[in-house]
Amino acid sequence: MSSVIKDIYTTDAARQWAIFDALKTSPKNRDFDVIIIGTGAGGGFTADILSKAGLSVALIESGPLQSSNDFNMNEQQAYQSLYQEGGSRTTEDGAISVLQGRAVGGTTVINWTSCFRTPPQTLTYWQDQFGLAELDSTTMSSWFDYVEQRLGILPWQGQPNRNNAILQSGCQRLGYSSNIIARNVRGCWNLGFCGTGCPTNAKQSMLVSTLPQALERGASLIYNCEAHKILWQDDQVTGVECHPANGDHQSSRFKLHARHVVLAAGAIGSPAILLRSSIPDPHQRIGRRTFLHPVSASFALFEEAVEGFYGAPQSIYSDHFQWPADQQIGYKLEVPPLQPMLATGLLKGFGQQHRQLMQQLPYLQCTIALHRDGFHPQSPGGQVKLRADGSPVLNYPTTQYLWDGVKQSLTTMARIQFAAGARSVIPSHSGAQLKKSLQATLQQLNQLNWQPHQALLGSAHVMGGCGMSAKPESGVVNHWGEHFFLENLSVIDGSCFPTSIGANPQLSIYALACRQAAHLSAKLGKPITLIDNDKTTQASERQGFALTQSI
Amino acid sequence: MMNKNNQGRRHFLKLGIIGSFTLATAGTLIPFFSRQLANPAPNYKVLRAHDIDFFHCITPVIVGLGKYQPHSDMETFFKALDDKLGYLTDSIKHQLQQIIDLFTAPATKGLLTGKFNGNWQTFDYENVEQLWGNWQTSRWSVLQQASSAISQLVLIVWYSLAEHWPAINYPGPLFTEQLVTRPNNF
Ligand SMILES: Cc1cc2nc3c(=O)[nH]c(=O)nc-3n(C[C@H](O)[C@H](O)[C@H](O)COP(=O)(O)OP(=O)(O)OC[C@H]3O[C@@H](n4cnc5c(N)ncnc54)[C@H](O)[C@@H]3O)c2cc1C
Repeated sequence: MSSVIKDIYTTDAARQWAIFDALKTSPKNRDFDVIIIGTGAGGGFTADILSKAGLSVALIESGPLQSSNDFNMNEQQAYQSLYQEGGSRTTEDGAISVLQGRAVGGTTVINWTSCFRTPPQTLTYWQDQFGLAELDSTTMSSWFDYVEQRLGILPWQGQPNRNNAILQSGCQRLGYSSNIIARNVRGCWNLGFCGTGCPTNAKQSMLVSTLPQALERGASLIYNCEAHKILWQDDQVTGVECHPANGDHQSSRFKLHARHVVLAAGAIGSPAILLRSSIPDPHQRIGRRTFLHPVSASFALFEEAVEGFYGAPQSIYSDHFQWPADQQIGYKLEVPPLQPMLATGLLKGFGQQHRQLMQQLPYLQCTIALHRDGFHPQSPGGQVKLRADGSPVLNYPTTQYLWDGVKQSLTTMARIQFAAGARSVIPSHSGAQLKKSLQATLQQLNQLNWQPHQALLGSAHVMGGCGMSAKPESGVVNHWGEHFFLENLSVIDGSCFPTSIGANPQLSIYALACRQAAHLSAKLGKPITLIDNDKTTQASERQGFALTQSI
Repeated sequence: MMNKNNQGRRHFLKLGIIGSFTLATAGTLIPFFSRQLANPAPNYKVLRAHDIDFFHCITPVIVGLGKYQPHSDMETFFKALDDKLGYLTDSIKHQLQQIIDLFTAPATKGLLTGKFNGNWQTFDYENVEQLWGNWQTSRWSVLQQASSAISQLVLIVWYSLAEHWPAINYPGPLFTEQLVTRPNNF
């Protein structure tokens, strides 16, 4: 039971940090420069930068504080305690399973460490459709550099595990492009359990990177604490009303105050808070255009062991079908880790056939396609709404456009799997059977019913709902993440994307968060220099000054 | 427990990829089976006695074990299922119970299964298997969604248990001696 890994949150330094469990206590100081709601990808970097700039920061997180000592590679425990709704969140009609984290560190604690820069095509689309000219590739590249350095993001140096290698070899044989995935890890043990919380602190999640830094600088963290509403009057936000995450909400509510509030509760979470707070929304944009990268899955049986439950979960991807010339939905190809619970969750069906497949778990390969939603009129995304009890739910209609894409991606995945030597292939669909040839698989794909609940659709990437735009008619915040109607409110997380990203989103969120937070520090009177861009501007400004002087 | 008056509308029951459960129950059916007991069985937090009977019968079929299992062999599973249900939001928990009531109350069970006498445990394994298969592709979306969601829930809880890993040749995580530690339990 003795760990070779030092838990960051049990060190002597950590004992000095201002950490409060709202189920037991709350902070005496209730006035801050900035309150950040949510401690994930967006909240983590925002806290780091604002605290570095010298601002007093409070972080509010509805999830628990768990750390390396708690992460015991136990799927059941992890899903129940670290995922939204105990791992059982779905869209309103139940058609799409939605995985999202709920913990100090947010979804970064349980994500699979794949890092991609925002594709230039996506940024161009935002410029054209949402007037976001400021977010061009050149501007963003300095921020990507900054984050990549900060989190040790590098192409995976190890061998891909066989689950990934099969995707690679199938693509190579068919002449489809594929590449190695960059990961935010330092000293990774190649365990394969990123999804249950990294037991070795190798994953550079917010839990082990930005949050400890912010805490060391005096930031306050209040966990097991739900931000219920943002308090506001006229065009000013004054604070946040919170309550402990469980228990009696009414009597235990308390208020925190700040000069500025940053919403970083993630997609679904952030729009939910705005809706609960009745924030001005004359164009009814809040919660709309929420995207999922809906995922389809194809399983294949191989003669040799695949052991998809071990090794870096994602190390190979293919973008060969990501930007099709026609108007069809594009998709990215990757693989998931295959521990028993996740494997069975991805595999539709029941009974004997299911059992036979599960009995061959070590020989199962699974490829997934992440569909790039939000780039087509027939892909408008979903809408976040509030249930009667105030909790959010995402209504996401599945369109024919998406089903066409799903059928297409399952066809491609079967091709790749057979090309890599699969003995048999089965798409994740309750009516599907294992087929021994590509032809039979394609025939089956043509015959199956493509509708909710029969074919698997999942999501681990929730984005949008508080979209950025140049105009309030088509978004909730501007390109700095500043709310259009309340002056001192920003949204800095995955919810501000106006479409899906077309790549796993964490790096896009990190980089944008750094840009937004640096801007916010300056706005609050504490400018901070983080990247060369700034340095160049400031240097050229200084140079300009020097030149004038010499003239 | 949710107020019965809330049940008039179409309701959706759902559990995600890790315990998937989804269901639209037709509100009109609710009053017929609201008579069922609501209290958890002794030593359980959520599962009621007739839930346990239902899962005792349906679980081997869903997992594909080929035959029913003695009750004593299923106890760890029931406990884990009970635990899992404890993490669901109240409204979803209640909806799950309603659908089980729908499947188990004599009148509705009779309509759905064609058998008005006896409880689920008196049904043949093969009959249940066939019934469950039909429901997965049923035109009636309630049945389709409920059966697919319950399947997912059962499978996920089943394979979460280390005692079922040898059967699927899963050796468990690596480096447990070094890395499995006493939780902080902050
Ligand atoms: C299983 C899985 C694997 C993934 N793998 C990858 C990957 O490999 N690469 C990648 O790029 N992306 C991956 N992602 C997605 C990525 O991690 C997320 O998109 C990203 O973390 C989102 O950042 P965020 O800041 O928007 O929100 P989050 O990181 O989700 O943080 C939001 C936080 O806010 C909290 N919160 C919500 N509401 C409230 C409230 N009312 N009060 C207080 N707190 C609240 C939440 O509990 C949560 O902790 C994965 C996701 C999952 C689920």
